[in-house]
Amino acid sequence: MSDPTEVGTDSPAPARPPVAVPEELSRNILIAPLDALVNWARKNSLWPFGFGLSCCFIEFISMAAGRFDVARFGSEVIRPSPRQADVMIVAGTLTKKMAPAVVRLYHQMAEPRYVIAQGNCTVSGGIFTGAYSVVEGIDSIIPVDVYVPGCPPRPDALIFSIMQLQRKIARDRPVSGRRRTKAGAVAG
Amino acid sequence: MRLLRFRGGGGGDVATAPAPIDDEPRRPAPVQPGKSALVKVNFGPHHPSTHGVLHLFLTLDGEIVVDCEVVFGYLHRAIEKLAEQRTYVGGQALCDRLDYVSAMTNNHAWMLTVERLLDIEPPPRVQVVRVMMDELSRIASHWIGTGVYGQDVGVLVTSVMWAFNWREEILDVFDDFCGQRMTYNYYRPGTVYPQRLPDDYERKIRAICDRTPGRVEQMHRFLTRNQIFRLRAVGVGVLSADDALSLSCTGPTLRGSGVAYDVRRARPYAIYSDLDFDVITRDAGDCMARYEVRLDEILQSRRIVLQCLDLLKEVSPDMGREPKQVKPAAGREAYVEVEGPKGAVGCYMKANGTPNPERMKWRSPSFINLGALPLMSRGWKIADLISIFGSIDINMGEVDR
Amino acid sequence: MTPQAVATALRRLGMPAEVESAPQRGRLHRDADTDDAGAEAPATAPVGVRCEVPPAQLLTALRAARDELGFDLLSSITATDEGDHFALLYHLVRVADLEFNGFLLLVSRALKDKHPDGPVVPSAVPVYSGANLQEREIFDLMGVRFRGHPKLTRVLTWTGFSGHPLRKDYEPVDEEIPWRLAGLRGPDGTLLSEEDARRAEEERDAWELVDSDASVAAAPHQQGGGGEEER
Repeated sequence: MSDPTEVGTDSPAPARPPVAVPEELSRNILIAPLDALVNWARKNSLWPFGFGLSCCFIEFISMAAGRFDVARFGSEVIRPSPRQADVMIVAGTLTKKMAPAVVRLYHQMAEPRYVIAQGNCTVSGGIFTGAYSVVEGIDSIIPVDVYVPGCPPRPDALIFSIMQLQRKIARDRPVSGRRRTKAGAVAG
Repeated sequence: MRLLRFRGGGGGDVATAPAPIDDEPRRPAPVQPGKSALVKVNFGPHHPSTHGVLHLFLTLDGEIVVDCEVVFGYLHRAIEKLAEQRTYVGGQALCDRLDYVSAMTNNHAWMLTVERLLDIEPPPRVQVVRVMMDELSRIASHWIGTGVYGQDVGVLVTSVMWAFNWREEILDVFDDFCGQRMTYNYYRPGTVYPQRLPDDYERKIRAICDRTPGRVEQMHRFLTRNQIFRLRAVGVGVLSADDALSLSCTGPTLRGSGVAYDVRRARPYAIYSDLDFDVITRDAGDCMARYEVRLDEILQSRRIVLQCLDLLKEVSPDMGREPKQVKPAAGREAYVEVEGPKGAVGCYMKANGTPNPERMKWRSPSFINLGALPLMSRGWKIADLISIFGSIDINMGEVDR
Repeated sequence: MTPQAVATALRRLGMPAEVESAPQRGRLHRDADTDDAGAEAPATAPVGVRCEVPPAQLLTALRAARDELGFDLLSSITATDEGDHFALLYHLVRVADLEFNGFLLLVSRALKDKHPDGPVVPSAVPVYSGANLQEREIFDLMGVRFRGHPKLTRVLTWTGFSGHPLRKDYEPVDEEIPWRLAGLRGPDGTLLSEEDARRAEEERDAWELVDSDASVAAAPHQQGGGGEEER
């Protein structure tokens, strides 16, 4: 079993008895644990809920545009509705006036749902720490899976965060039922 | 309603097709509030328009907007209060986050105010570099404004993709100059930092300038001569010149209504009084006018950038020096406006003898231009409201500060 | 119109106006002979006009600026906290005039009073409708009430926010997130706490507290109350 804290670990499944596949069909038949298949489907089609609040959202759109091209990760469909989205990328400063809307939208997302906190403002309040109207970090109101520091983080960093989220999803056990990841957002 | 006719049969080339004939432009519906029950609908603060968090509280008669109340504050980050706790140079990082798609003009407004307080002036080479950065920033912002406006009227993502890809080249230039793509903190009192210009900046900037006219033409072919777009933009959301002046609008919103007011000409700063460029206006005052003003301003900015590149070869190489201490004398105050892509960006600062400003106030053009939205959108449908709102080109970071 | 002509016209109307000068800026020195040691100070030229106006005469001044002097754009209204009074700065522009490349700055000072929402000043909305949002912002952040404003409510902070943050004596309070704005329940399970409900009620009626016959605040140097009431 690989160490779950090691970056770059992708294999989730425990050992299981090998199934004999005839030679002539070995290129057409794939045997895999159901956990791995479900994880593979989920992690490679993460539809972002582009929750654009401020500056970081421009880098988020740049990530979806031609040069950085998040479409190759399956994430190009940015859904405006939370019901159709998988990962809520909170991009920008969260103010107290907007916080209730964020929580409400988070609850409207269907599980499994993930949250990426993009930018220093969502991680800790960023450059606006000490302002009377800023919530210092979104993890005080919603659970966060991946934190991306930067002001704003480059689109490359944001793509790396999606890759980290993919690695996190790959370690999950949706079918066999045991919760292995720590953030509360992942359904068993 | 007019049926859309394909011109030239199947496979005709759009570029060579004759210009579409505009029928009578659409008019706003007469608003009769007593006629039927009015519905109040919350529009936002989260909605797919990429302008950010804006909440419109609409009063609707069916689908026609009777009244539109704009509710701000979802991005209020207390920048004016925080600026009182930061220094004059360190606080410039805060102003980057205001109009974040064109942060160089924000930097310029802030730093010009600080320089007025200190009574210093940067050397000519620094002024040329600043103007060049401002104009590249203006091109980048107008690309976003145009691309996203296309999305607002229903293009989905084509114009957005083009705009962001073309903008990436400009961001590469900024990355070379100051190490950042979007929030630069580049200017300093009397100079810029880093002072050394990158090695091959001229090649990159000239490449951008060479490609820009073709790209503007591409956008014209795609949108300006597109019958669907014209149906959405011509005659929609008309703002008369008197109303625009009375509502304190500036920028393309004002120039699209025929008033030739540009801060670069009215109160020239940096080296604008020595540069050759036109102030673009249109008379119609509708969404199409504002959109065309932006595209033409891209070409004018390109003209200025080319002049700056030539000037950089002529002026003396002195890049100035930052003062050791930035502590303006108590009681000094200064208000400076620069022409940002969205309008006149103003910065007011008052000094009290300490390294921190006593008061910093930001005149944000988007905040004031948004006051014209209820007037412009009365009688139009919700879809037209989005088109009108997109044509004003708002940036919510600036509105809410 | 030159700045001197504007200042003269304002003085004729009874308002003390002075011309502001500034060094000539922004010239691209192409002269290669100029060296730093022998550089002379750039010549100053008049760039703007500044005029102190007591709040009671503010509407007269704005109307005169717009109608008689042709200042058709109110570019910005700024409010500063000067300790014992608030200073309101109105920057006005003539858009069609390239000769007057500066601002007409009207400074209006209003003594603070005991009301938590601040002194009353006549609103500029009847003259320049673009003052609407700017005055709401000043009411919200600095706490100056504008008489004659169509709807003076908070614009940048939320309903229920107490205090005016940009004041120098503002005590920072970690305000509770206004959960009721999204219909969510507060920490004690109620949709709207009593405190919240009270604040929301107060907020809704706050703008009605500025009566049309409320007396305008005095300027600091005036003793014994304000001058003639403006209508």
